[in-house]
Amino acid sequence: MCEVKLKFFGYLSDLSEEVPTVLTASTPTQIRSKLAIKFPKLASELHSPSLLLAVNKILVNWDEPLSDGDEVAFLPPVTGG
Amino acid sequence: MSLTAKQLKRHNRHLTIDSIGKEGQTIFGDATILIAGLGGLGCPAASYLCGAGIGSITLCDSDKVEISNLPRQTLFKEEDFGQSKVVVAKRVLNLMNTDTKITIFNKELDDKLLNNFYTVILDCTDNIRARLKLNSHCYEKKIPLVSASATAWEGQLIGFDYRHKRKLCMSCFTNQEHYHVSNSCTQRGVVNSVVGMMGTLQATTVLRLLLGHFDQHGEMIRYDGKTGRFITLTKKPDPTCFVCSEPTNQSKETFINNTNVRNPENDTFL
Repeated sequence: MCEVKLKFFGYLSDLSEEVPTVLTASTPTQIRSKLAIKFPKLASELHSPSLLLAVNKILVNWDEPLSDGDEVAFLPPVTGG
Repeated sequence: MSLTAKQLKRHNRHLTIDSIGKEGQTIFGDATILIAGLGGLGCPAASYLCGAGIGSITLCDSDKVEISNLPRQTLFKEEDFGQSKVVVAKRVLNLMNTDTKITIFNKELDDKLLNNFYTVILDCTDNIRARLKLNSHCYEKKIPLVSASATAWEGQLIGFDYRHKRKLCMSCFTNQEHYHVSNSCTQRGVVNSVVGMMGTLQATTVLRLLLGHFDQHGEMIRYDGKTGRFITLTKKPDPTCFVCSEPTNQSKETFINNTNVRNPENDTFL
């Protein structure tokens, strides 16, 4: 388990005001499971298949292994024009 | 093509910049740009590229001007309601710069339109099918693609210089689920100046590509207008991508089906 920093972008930031900025987890999937306990609305949004996930500003998949100090960012899709 | 006396005067502010100068301005004048989608992105992009002295701009959009377009689609006025967007845009751009040839396609993106020659293509659409169609065409023909989008307070821009980079493409950023993402401008709204800024960034990216100053192939630039912050994200090429990697027959077939079948709820240019 590693201590990682969480960042939420777009409308996700409105749903994450009470969310701790630091969490222990070994994968982003585990972060989502942990958040589901206290923040079900946010966790539900994190299940959106079009959501982008970045670790240290690199877009990755949900099973990406995390290391201590990693910054995990959740970004909603931006599709309009 | 060399610059006329009028052009030397008109583009004086560009000519005084060392990295543009007469040579760069001549490159702009020789360029042919396709702008697919004439909404909140396409309007400012077209306006700045026409002003910059791009030689030829092709505009593609099948929509008519609606009242809800006006806050962000800056080429249109109230008196233009109900008129074809591309027809109005051509009239406005012709008044702005008579040196820029404006060609219009008052219809949806199709292969005939794409098969014309373009130096750079701008993806100003609002749906994933059009984006992937433009991407696969640009990748195949080695044409630079500048794709942008905006939803609510957020904007996103990704440029691909397919002339020089053959790994990592727009399709690497998507999965099958993206086909089901609905039109987010309609559902979540969009801040007019945020989408306008992304269209303006697209125009700047075109100028950089034309001058050979572009080194951000496949970098995703996200702007959060609510916090005023930019973030740049990178991605590794998707080894299963059906455009820039070796695809399986099944994934390629799915891709072709998805890009050819229209979803009437999502497939409109905003």
